[in-house]
Amino acid sequence: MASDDEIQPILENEVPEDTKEEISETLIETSVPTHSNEVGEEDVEVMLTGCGASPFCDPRRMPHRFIALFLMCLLGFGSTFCYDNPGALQDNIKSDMGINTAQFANLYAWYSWPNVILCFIGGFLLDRVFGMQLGTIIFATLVLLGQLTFALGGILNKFWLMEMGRLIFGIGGESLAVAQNTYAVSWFKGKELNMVFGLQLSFARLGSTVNFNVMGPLYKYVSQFYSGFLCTGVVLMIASASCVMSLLSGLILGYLDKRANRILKKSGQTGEVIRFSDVKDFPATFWLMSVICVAYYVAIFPFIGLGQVFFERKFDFSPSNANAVNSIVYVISAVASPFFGILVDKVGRNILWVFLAILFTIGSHALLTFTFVNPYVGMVTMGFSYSMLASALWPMVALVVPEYQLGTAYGIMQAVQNLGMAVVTMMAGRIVDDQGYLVLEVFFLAWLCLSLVATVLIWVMNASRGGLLNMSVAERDKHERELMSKENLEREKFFASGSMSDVTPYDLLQPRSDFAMRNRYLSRIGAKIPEHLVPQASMVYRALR
Amino acid sequence: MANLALILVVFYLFPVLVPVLSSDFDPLLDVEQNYDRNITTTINPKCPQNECVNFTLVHVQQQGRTDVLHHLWTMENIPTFFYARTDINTELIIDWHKMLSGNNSQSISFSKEPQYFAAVLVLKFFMYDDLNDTGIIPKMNSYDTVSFSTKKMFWELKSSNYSGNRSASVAFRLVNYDGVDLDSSSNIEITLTAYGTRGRSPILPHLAFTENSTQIDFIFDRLETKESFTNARLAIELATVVSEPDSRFTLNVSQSLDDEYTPGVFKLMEVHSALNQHWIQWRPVCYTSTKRDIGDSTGVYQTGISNVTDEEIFDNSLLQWLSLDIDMSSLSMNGLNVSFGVEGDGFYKASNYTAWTMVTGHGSPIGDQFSVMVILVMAIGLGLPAVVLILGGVAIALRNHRNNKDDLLLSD
Repeated sequence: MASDDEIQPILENEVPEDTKEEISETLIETSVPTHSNEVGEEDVEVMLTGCGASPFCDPRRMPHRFIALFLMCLLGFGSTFCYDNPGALQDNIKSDMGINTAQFANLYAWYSWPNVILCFIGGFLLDRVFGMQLGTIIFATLVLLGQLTFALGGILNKFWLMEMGRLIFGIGGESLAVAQNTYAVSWFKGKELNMVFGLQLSFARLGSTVNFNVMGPLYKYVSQFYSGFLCTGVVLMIASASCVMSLLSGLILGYLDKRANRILKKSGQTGEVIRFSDVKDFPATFWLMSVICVAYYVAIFPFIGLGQVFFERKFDFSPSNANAVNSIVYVISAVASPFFGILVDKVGRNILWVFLAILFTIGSHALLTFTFVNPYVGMVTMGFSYSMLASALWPMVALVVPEYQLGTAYGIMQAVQNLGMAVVTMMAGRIVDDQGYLVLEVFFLAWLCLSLVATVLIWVMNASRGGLLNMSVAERDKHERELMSKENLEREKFFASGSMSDVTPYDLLQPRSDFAMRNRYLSRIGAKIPEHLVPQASMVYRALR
Repeated sequence: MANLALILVVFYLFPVLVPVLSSDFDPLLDVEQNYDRNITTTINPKCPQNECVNFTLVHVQQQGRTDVLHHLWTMENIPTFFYARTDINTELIIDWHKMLSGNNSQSISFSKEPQYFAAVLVLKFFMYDDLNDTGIIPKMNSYDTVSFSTKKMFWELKSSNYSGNRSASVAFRLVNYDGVDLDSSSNIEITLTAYGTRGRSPILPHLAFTENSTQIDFIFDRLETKESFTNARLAIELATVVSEPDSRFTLNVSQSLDDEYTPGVFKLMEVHSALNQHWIQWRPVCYTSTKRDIGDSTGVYQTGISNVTDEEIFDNSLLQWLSLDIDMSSLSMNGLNVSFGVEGDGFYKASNYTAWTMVTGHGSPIGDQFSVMVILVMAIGLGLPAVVLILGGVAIALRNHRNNKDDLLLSD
């Protein structure tokens, strides 16, 4: 699923958002202590009987949380499995439905288009209108409905109905990913959260990989009983079982969450609120990162979407072999992403990694385009490069955008990425039909070169501003500590004064961080700033991983 | 800074420009003027009025600066597409009386003996039952194969189209096989096209043609397949003959990186004569709908080249009508089969349509080359970033250098 990697930013941006939430909650606690979660957990001892007393049913115990984790993973499985159904059945769908490559590529465009906007509002609806439990069920239902409509389009040989199905599927799919993250944050905040995100990402990849390896043989099997568009429809209908499974896990999860809320007496609210006014303050480096994000990802996913036939035609691969080499990028990223994440965490120097990742991706595309070298070489290189980029690019945003704006930042990045994907997917289909795969590959190479240029520009711009993005971890820590002490100084100044009397017009003109503003306010009402908020202890500018 | 902004703008627009550039630039009109030949096309040249009603012989004369190419295309008896290269001012002479009398042997001659000649013949159409879905034709005369000799076919001239003296195109349509009229909904068509220049065909698979070549396009539309054949596929048998003493032919399969002309096809098949004077080219692709595109296509397979020993072929083709110094029967004929469809494409019935194109010609064929558009795009796409990278590197290096200098000054 193209959004698997997009899950990452959402996931990651929610970590800080939540930390923030936690901070504010704790702040309120300080004044009204009885509402605190921790206090609630410790003080209000709920007596559980029957199943509730066993570790598997008690929401306070780890085994129960892992049951929930398994359900969360299943929640996303349906949509990631079905997202690439068209890719796995490209040739069959094209010949069964009598469509050309451009029309086929529309199946992906119809998924991407709604999410150009829905990235902004999906999470908002979840937080403000539906709530997490109901929202999840609604989105999972949309995913199922979408897949059913898609399959029905096959059975009735109505291609427009298939497109409609993909539209509905897309509306549900991307927002379901947000819901999945919200659940993860809600259940694992301050516990095994990073591991959970990693596992969810791998599970999403797994869904996609299973799809690529199962759908071909499944089609072959079903074709013994049905032929033509009917076969396509029946195969897609069978695939929709995965969406039913996701909906069921959504329902169970909703029940478990409700139950947990009752037992733990917590308000299930997490999530982010995107503020549009923040956008104008984003630095140029952020926008260049968005350019990389678009220009790089459009050279990967639309390519994979059209890759199967390319490998069959150019390298004489059998359909199943072509499918296998096509999905190798997914397989590698499922396994390698966490390790690259750890590597980038340890080493720092994000921009260097991004640069190398793009360079190697250019190399792999060039290898596929200009040689007849076994495509596994190119695709494996691409898989590792892509994992590297995903690990290094997304956290970099957190280094240039303050934490409280990260939601908006990632929202924009994802929306722009979806826009790019939708447009490029359509263009790519047309290019293949009219000018073939060589021109298509040159087209992708051009995009990659664009992202390389953007990387160099970020490097240059960043170097002129202290070079935070290319610092090693030790250098970055030092830099952050310096920043913190500045904030600390400012805070102490307010402590000392305890009023607005010393605030000069100059101070008012300075941009304020969320943190500074809150503390200024707290200082004015005379609230004590809690000990654990001393900046050195929790760094505001930390990398997301 | 303004320069930087300009570079940025170019770059941000660049990926968008690729399709624009590629649609504006027409690689099919890559004409080299020096090779041009003037084409004059005549059907049944100098045939006395009303006598050639049921007879079609197309004469395409390609007048070059140093020689003339005479093409003779006919669907009478075995469809034969013949050409001869002659000196300039060589006339084609047809004894129509003899030709139409039934004993048409040696009724065609040239005022001067040709320097070279060659012909391509369409011998048979096959229908075979591909039981294991391999796309490979079973052994001839086996139970799973039905063959249709083209000798028993009657064709009508469907259309002819001469655009100035640049190209000539005639299309023939099958009317009758062995005395039975073809079903009105079915259609078998053979279209021949000769060009006076070099370039690429405007229709897929956009094969390259030269001023010495003939493009032959086959269409098999809505044919009824034999009922007992569940997995019916079509195939044809082609033969070729040249005036070279050594008549061994070679089949070359060349892999190409470039599928810009024939999207999704990276191979080019080429059969050429021992002296490389006569060639046949095709791509291993056939199209399964009138709207030819990559989605409506499947592959083709060919057999190896083998000797055609059937003497009757000479007697039943245009070759026998020719009066030339060389003894026609001394020339050996080479043939190969081309079958349409590959495993998993659903057989002929999946589309009920097959269109396949080949080009045959004299001299050297045009190989696959990157078009100017692709080279241009590659140069901009890969060259400009390199420039930006170098500029960026220099900028960083300069700043570091300057900073170091500042440090030194301060420490002084």
